[in-house]
Parts: sequence; structure tokens; C-alpha cells
Amino acid sequence: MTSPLLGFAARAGRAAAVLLLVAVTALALPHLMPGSPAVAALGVTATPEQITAFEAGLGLDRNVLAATADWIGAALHGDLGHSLANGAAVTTELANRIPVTLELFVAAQLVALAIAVPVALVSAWRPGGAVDRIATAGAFGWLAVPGFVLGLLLIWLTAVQLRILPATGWTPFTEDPVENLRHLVLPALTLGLPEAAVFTRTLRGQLLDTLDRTHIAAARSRGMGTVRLLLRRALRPSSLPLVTLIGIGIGTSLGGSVLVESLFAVPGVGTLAAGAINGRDFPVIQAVMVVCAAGVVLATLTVDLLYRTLDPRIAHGHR
Amino acid sequence: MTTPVLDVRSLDTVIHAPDGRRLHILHDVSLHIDAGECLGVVGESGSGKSVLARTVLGVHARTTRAESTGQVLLNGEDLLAAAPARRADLLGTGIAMVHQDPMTSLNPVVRIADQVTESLTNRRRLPRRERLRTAAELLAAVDVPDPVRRARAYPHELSGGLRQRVGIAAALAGDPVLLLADEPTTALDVTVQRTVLDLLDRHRATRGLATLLITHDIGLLYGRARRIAVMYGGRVVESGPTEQVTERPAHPYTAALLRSVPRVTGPLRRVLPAIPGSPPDLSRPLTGCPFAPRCDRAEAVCATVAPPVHRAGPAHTASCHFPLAAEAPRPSQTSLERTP
Amino acid sequence: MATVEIAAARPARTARRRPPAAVLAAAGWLAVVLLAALLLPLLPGFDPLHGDFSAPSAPPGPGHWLGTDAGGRDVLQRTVAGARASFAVAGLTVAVGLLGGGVLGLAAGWFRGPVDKAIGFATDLLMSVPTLILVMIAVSLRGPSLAVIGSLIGLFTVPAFTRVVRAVVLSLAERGFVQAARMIGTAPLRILRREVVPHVAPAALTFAFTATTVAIVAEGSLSFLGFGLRPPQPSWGGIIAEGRTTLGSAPWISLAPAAVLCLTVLALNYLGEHLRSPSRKATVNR
Repeated sequence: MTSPLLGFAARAGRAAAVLLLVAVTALALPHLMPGSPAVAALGVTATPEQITAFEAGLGLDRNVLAATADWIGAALHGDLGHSLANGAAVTTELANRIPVTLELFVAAQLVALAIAVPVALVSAWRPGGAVDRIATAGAFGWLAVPGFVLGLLLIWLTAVQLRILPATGWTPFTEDPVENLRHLVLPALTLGLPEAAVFTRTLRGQLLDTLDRTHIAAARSRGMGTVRLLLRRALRPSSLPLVTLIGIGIGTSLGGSVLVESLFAVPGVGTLAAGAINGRDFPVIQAVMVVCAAGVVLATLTVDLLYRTLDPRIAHGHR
Repeated sequence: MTTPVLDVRSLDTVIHAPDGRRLHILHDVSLHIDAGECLGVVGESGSGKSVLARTVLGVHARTTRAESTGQVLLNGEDLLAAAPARRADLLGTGIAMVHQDPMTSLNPVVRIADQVTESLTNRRRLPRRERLRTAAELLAAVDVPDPVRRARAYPHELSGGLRQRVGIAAALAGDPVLLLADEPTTALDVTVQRTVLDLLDRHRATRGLATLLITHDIGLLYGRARRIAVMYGGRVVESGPTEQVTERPAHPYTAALLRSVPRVTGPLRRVLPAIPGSPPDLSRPLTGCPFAPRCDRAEAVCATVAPPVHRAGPAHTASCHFPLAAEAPRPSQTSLERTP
Repeated sequence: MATVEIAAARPARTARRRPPAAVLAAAGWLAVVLLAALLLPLLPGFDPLHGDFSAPSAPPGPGHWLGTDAGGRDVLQRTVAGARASFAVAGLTVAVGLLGGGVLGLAAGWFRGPVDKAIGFATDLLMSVPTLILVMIAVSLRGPSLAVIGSLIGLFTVPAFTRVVRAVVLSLAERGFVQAARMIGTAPLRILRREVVPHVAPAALTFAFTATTVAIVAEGSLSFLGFGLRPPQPSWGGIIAEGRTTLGSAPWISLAPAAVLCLTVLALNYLGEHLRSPSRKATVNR
């Protein structure tokens, strides 16, 4: 049996390798572009000096590995370069936008959990019952609605038909908390509702497994009521796959947040990425790619640690 | 005459399985246990002994629905007629259960202290310090070494034998009057088995606890159960004082069970004897004696007529057309053939 | 051995049953969509680009069953044309995913050990990157062609295909008849062709249903973001995106093709699930 610490070190090493690969890929991107990125960015009237300076800035004059090493070195000193579009420091851009995307992500998870946990508990307690049948069929149908269609439907319903919520735009929380929440509702629902379907399915399956265990029968034989039993004894051992899902979600949600942020004009990392890709703003693209990969890696390691607190057997290396 | 702690009278239980099948598990089961007494219930898997325990407890498998008729009297109170709230109130405090497999009957992510004190905390809030203290006392009472540390531990940190002690401590926590022990030692090593049974014995005696000890291993009951009820096909086919039932079995099934047990004293751990055939299919109605298809003494009448109750002794009965000890007058073949 | 026999007996029993009505409905809907996409464009009056300027943004009714868009173009015709584009992308995606995942999954399950580990690392890596963003980058660098979009989405379905194929190959190895074939000296390629591929194909093809929906949704998302196929070859996502500016005045321009898209995804999911369930029970359950 390998020690848990060693396992953790191995995973951390793997994570570092992933990050490095993503950084190399990101720095190689300008090379993949047909024609000269410098000419594309500066225009045909650019002087050779300007082009040389531009290429040095992107690391195009060196090989990719050397450029990556330089980039990482600068990044460790808090310098992610400057946007080609407006010359702003990429770190400033990210610092402005990461909180927005994080807020959206957390709100979406809360939406998903607020729906999935009670529905899964009731479904699993009475499998084949009315709630279970409706929830299972509903989750299945719901998964067929892509995020962009769901977003459109929500806009159509709440902003166009009912006129109760703003369809697009953003107000920072620090400026006006109420307006911030009003702007948060639709994007959070668009991100969270499909996740709710996935969460419900996963948690229901795991709960069914847990509820069949003898220890649940034992707790019932000691007079534990249903609600307490579900919340205090069944939910926690069943929540591991959910934690994994949320962890993976941090990785995949960036794709989702590009879509949702663009749809609702939310100034987060997603719209930053979309804009940068559109404008071939390589320093921004590179920074977003690496930062997101780092986010995924961090999430994976956090999930690992959470596992240990949720299941004491893992902490003691019994599994 | 004192009222028994548990008095089961003509209990019939039907289980509605999740797949829609209707299983008539218990047929006219009657038995009683006095305070401080141990009744051994013996039978193969599928004999209905676990359903009997669950019916007495009032907690059935989550996905099934059970209907019972007859009476289950706890200190004279009919539980089958009691309100659900009253039944829930008795769980852990009136009737407690020790489960079969200690590896699966403890929640892996909940500390021992919180599981052992469940019968108490389900009724009132106990501060954490109080929980730990009570748990340590309970663990000490079931001979768990180092109880203060063990109370804070998780189940996987304990051996199988210790876990079963934890299970017993959890059952005793609510100070019940009736203890249902469903194969409490089947999953344990032979050496551990004995100490766990001794522990149950000790608490039965000191607390005056009525104990229903369910097992498939009749050898386990020597010297522990005062009386034995042998179950087959959801019926009590023979019951009586342990010595009489084991030394002069009246029912052929009991005799078959006993033949598999070596005649030696000491710890015994035996898988059920290879009695040819298998227990009856409970989803079908059954006429006659349930054991008839596997019985070497069976005759035509056994398959069609329910067996009469045969008195083999003052408190010793067996349901059989052709009981072993005292030869009952046999109906002749010819007279049988003449009946339509 | 007994459990294997029980497991093997089960799909045979379910296969004899008539498929449930919902399966027929799902298959029927897919057939209608596919046939419309293939055949309707051959009709003489079919022109999704022709704008009827006398009736811009006309609501659904006779003449234009799903209404017209802001340019007076028939929404039904555009939806049918969109189906062509969406399914073209999906076809390429599935081809790439099947080929890549098939080869990698076979290799991982066949050689195991370090090969399996290396392939596992590569697929994990591929799964940890934000798919949509990478495809967007590629489209921005190489242009929004069917080849780029279809093959890249396909690339990102390779890990899932690999897992499916690998699992089947591993379960085959456990069941022993591959070893048996090896022992009597059958050439590896022959074993692959005769014993492994026939077992892998159903599972992989079943997963192709899921991959198809992934491709349709991913392409739709790309179009929505302006990185999808460009007119005059609009996909479902493109058509839906075009209509969003008139969501208040003419919601059918977006919502009609959106409904068709959702129903198609639902039908594909349902068929995939239906195909998976009996075989899954046979191979995984105990």
C-alpha cells in the first residue's frame, strides 16, 4: 500500500507536468498561425524594427521551449505580459475578471446543489415513486437542452415576456449588491440548471447504493428518523462523486462560461478569452490558458483533500 | 404467572417486494420470551427468521412493504396495533437489534461515539463532550479496551470483533427490554464468536434482558438458549427447552439439523448440513408440510394436509404428521388411497 | 461461470421484446430529420438563402410553416439546411473519435502496462483542457471550416471513445477467450479482427450516439460565439444565434430550430441509452 503522502506527491507532479504542457502549447500558438502574427497585428505598413520588437515580445524569435521558460520566469514574478489590443497588463485584466467568473461559478454550483440534493434524496428514498420517476425523466430530457438554447429560453421568458430581470450586462457586487444579484440570476441558472440534472443523476445513484447498506438499517433500528437519516448518515458517504463532478466542473466550466458570459455580456474570464481569441491577442490567450489549467489543477488537488475529510478511510490509506 | 417480555401470537407476515411479488413469509408464528431469558431461533436462510426479527422490531427493508396479522405483545402492549409514533419511540429504547455483519453495519464515515449513542441522540440533543463520555462508558461495558480513544475512532480503525462489540454497545445504549440478535457472530472468527456470545449472555443475565438469538447454527445454542424454536418455511416447526429439542428432536428437520453438528462440546462453527433440496418458494401458496419435499419420512398426506401439533413433552411441541420420538399412529396406505 | 451464463441470457430475452413506443418515436424523429436533410434540398423550390421580402419576420403559418426570418427566408428550409451542416460536423467528429479512440483503446487494453499508462495520461490531459476555448483558438487561426471544426471536436471525443473501447477489451481479456486464442497460436491481428473488434464495435457505435450529440451541441455553441460554420452554410447553432436579436418580436426564428435541435439531441440520447442498457447489464453487472 502506497502512503497517502506519496500518492499526493505523485498527483502534484503529474499536475505540474500538465501545466507545463499547457504553457508550451500556449506559447506555440502564434507559430501555428498562417502568415505573420506581427503583420496581422501591426498592419502591412509596419517597419522591420517594429516587427522585430513585436516578435521578441511574443517570444517568436526564440524556440518555443526557451520562450516558455522565459514566460514562466516572468509569470512567477507576476508579469503575464501586456495585451496587444489595449496595452493593459494581463494580470490587471485577469484580476478584474476572475472574481466575476468565480462568482458566477459558485452561484451556478449553488443552484445545481439546491435542486439536486433534495430531489436526489427524495428520489432515492422512494425509488420508482412519483418524485423519482418525474425527476429521472426530467433530468434525462433536461440534458438534451444545450446551454445556449437554455440561455435563450431564459432570456425570452424572463427578460422579453415577463420583463422581470435584465437580459444582459453586469454590475459589480461592490457597486450595488442587489443589481449584482439581479444580473447574476440568469447566467447562474443557465450554467447551473444543466448541472443540476447531472448532479441529481449521480447523487441519486450513489444514495441508492448507500441506503441499501446495513448501517442505514442499523441506524433505523435505533430509531433514527428519515430526515435525519438522509441528511446525517446517507448524504455524506454518498457525496464523493458529487465532489468529483464539481471539481471536474471547474475545468469544463470555463468553456461553459465563455458561452454564458458572451450570451449575457458578463465581463468575466470567458468574455476576455473570447475577445482575445477574436482579436488574436496572444499574450491574453496564453495567460488565460495557463491560468485556467492552473485552476483545473488546483481544483483536482482540492478535491483530493476534500475526499480525505469526507471519507476517513482514505485519510488512513485504507482505500 | 408473569407476562413475558415478548409474546408473539399467531403472527402472519406478508412482504410486498419492490418487483410486485407478494411473499407470504411468516405463517402462524407463536413464541414468547421472559425477562432475562434467551430464546434461540434456528433455521436456514429463507426460513423467515430475519423477517420475524424485523417484524418484531417494526422496521422492514426500505423498499418493501409488510403486512402482519396476529399479535406482537411487548410487556403486554400489542405492537401491531400501536401507532407509528409509539413504534418509532420503542426503537433502540424498548427493542434493540444487533446486526449480522459488523463490517457493514457501522457507517464508515461516522465516529464510533456518534453511532453508539444514536439511540439516545435520536431523542434528545447530547453535547459532544457528553456523547464521548457516554460512548466510552458503553464501550467499556462491552469490554472494548481503551474506550476513550476508541470512541473517537472511525469503524475502519477497529477489528471485526471490536466492531461487533460496538454494535452491541449501540444496542444496549437505549437500555432496551428486548434484544434481537440476528446472526451476531456469523461473520466473526471462531475464537471471537465465543467471547461475543459470552458478552451477550452476561448482559442478558445482569440486565434481565429478554434475548432473541437468531442463528442457522443450532450448535451455537447449547448452554446459551434456555429454549429453542426451529423455523422452516416461515413456520415454527418445533419448539421446546434446549435439552429436549437437541436430545430428543421430534421433527425430522430438527433431526437433520442436528446430524450436521459434531457431538463435541466447545466452540462450533458449521455451515448448514447438506439437506437435499431447497426451502419452499414463498411466493406460492403451500399446502401440507413445508418440509415434505425434502423429508425422508414424508408420505402422501404430508404434501396435502397441514401437519398437526404434536406434544413431545410438557413444553415441547413439533408440527409433524410423523414425529420422531414417540411414534404416532400412522394412517394406512390403503385408507389414504381411498380418500378422494 | 453461472453468473456469466445468466448475464448472457438477459440481452437475448430483452432483444426479443418489441421495442417500446418511445424508442420507435425517437428513431422515427431521427429518420425524418436525416431524410429531410438529405432529400429536401433536391426539391426544385428549396432555397434557404432566398429571401421573400414581401414577408419578413412572418410568424409560422401556411406557406412558411415555421415562419420567416428578418430577411424573409423560410425558417423551415433553413432548419433543414442547418441539419445538413450540423450532421456533417457530427459525422466527421464521430469518424475522428472512433478512429482515434478505437486505436488508442485497443492499444491500451491490449498491451496494458506502460502503454496503457501513457495513453491514460494523454487522454487525461486532453480532458483537462477547456475544449471550447481550444476549438475557438483553432478556428480563429485556421478559419471556420467543416474540417477544422469537425476534426477538433472529434479530437476531444477521443478520450471518451478510448475509455469505452479499453473497458471492453479489458473485460474480454478477463473472460479468457482471447488468452485461449493466443495459446492455440492465433496471430494477434487475427485475434483482434475475429474476436476483439466484433465485441468492441457495438459499444463504440453506441457511444457514437453520445458523440453525435456532443458534436451538434459543441458546434452550436461555437456558432453562437461566432466561431462556427459561416453562412451560406449555416448550422443549427448559427441559425439560432442569428435569431436572438429578434427574440422579442419574432421568437420563432430562434426557438423553432432550437426545438428541432433539442428534440434531435433527446432522440439521440434516448436511443444511445436504450442500446446501452441491456449490453451494459450483460457485461458490467457482476
